[in-house]
Amino acid sequence: MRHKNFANDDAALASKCAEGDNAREQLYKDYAARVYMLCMRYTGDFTLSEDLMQDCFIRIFDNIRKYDSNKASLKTWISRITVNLLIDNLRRHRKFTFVSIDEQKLDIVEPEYNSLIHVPQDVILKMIADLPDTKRTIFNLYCLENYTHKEIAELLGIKEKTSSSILYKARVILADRVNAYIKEKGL
Amino acid sequence: MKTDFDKYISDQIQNIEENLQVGNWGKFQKHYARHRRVKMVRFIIPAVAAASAILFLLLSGINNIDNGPIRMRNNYPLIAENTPTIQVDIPTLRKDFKPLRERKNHEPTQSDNFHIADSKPQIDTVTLIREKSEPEKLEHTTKQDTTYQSIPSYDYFETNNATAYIPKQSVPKLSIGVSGGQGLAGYDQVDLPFGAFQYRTSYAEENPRGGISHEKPRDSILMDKPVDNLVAGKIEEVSYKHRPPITFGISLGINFTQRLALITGLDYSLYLSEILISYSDKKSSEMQQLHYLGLPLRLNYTIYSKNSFEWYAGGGFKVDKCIYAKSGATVLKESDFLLSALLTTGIQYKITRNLSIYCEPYCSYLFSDTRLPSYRSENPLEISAKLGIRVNL
Repeated sequence: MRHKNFANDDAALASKCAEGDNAREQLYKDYAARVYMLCMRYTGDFTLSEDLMQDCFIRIFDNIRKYDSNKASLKTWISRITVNLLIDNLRRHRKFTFVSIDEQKLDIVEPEYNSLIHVPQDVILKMIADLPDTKRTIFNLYCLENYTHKEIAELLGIKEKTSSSILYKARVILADRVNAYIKEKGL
Repeated sequence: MKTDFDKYISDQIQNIEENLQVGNWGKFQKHYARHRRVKMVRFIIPAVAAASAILFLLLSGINNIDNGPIRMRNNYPLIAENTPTIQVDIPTLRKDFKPLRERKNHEPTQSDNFHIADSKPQIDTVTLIREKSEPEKLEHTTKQDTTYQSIPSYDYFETNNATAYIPKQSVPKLSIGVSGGQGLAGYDQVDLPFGAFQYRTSYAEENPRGGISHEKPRDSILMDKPVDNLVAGKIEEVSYKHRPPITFGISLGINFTQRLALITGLDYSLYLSEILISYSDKKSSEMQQLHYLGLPLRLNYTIYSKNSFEWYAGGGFKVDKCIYAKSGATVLKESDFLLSALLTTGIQYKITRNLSIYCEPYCSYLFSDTRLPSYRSENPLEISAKLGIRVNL
């Protein structure tokens, strides 16, 4: 059960959104960055993210009456709506290719923390954006949205093992790129 | 299981989110209002279609199209210049005509041609009186007459069972039109938000010609000049001043009935916009040109027609494709087709039998989203008018 005060705040904001523009503007300003970053991480495209952000908020405002503050925070609910829309969008454009990868043949060499902290945030974002669509999506869902492999498997219609192996490959690629950046910049 | 690497990245992303300034409520409000209008239109269209069908049926019952032959005094049918005609073979002129009651078993001996109006009902026995002089003294004859008055100053044609074939009145016809027009509303100025054009402006800085491209400069987004724009929010402004579109077109009309016609053709539209880009240390301006080719398809219904004047209304759809787009020196691309609904009304005046001029106000509603900002993207509901010439074939 969520903390009662937070739940009340979210419920109040949601109910006001259903009534008028002032609350909608407040919600938009509060969550625009969150929604935009989700779009950016899942698509890797600034312009498309801007368009998708608008679509997400349309869906949010169209469904705001369905929000139940007892089940989840407004942030979680908005994130879920956004992620679902983004997955739909990727699926509609046939961006997903699911191939199981043999994990034994790949080794992850994770960057050292002392070097990693010198890598700019936007570079990390760019590296995530540049991952292939399927790997990027599963990496985002698992590492940043805290979905389990079971939830990812249900959402994308794949096996849990496939999700796990694709995530592994995504981590390998990301770690390689970070290491290459660190080496190139002499960090 | 999450690794330290995953957690670090997650923290970094969270940090970016907290410092990011994106979104423009004003622009979203427009977008959302448009979305609601589209939803409403989707609901209304079936209702309007049903109402139109009922109206069509009602109006079809009222014959207010005057295409009958011109009638002179005494109700003699004369043939108007533009009246469709048929040919009927009848017996030769009989100088020695006598009333039927005095003659029996008359047989024609030679054929001749003459015209009657096609609006004349089909008849089994035709009697035509050719006027030579003093028409006021004539006694009118009709197909119901069984006997004839012998008047010396007239020649009489008479035949038995002369069957006239009368073609259908609604012969499909073609018409070709040439038109041009301009949007009726004034300029539309829009200040676009930082977020939407962030990558465009950052790319524009790198473009030696100062142009803007909608191509994805992915490598330039974050790697090279990313930090200021994305995190710290170095806000730049792009201001658009959209001009109403200029449209030219040719149209082809296929008349199914006297009232109903299918109109298609090809429309060319030019959308011009002045763009003012404000950087932190400089400003630049350029002109954006969007060239569209459109394929309209609509049904026209003639509501009223008398003599040379005609009033019609119609509705349908139009598909547009951007054939060329340019902003400054940079070529832009848009691969999607744009779909819009059309509602139109028009008046037409027939100058000659085959040539007409028309004025056609119309409104169109753009359903599709376009990535190229223009007068149309800011005003999905567009009201405009065309002037044109139509040739009936």
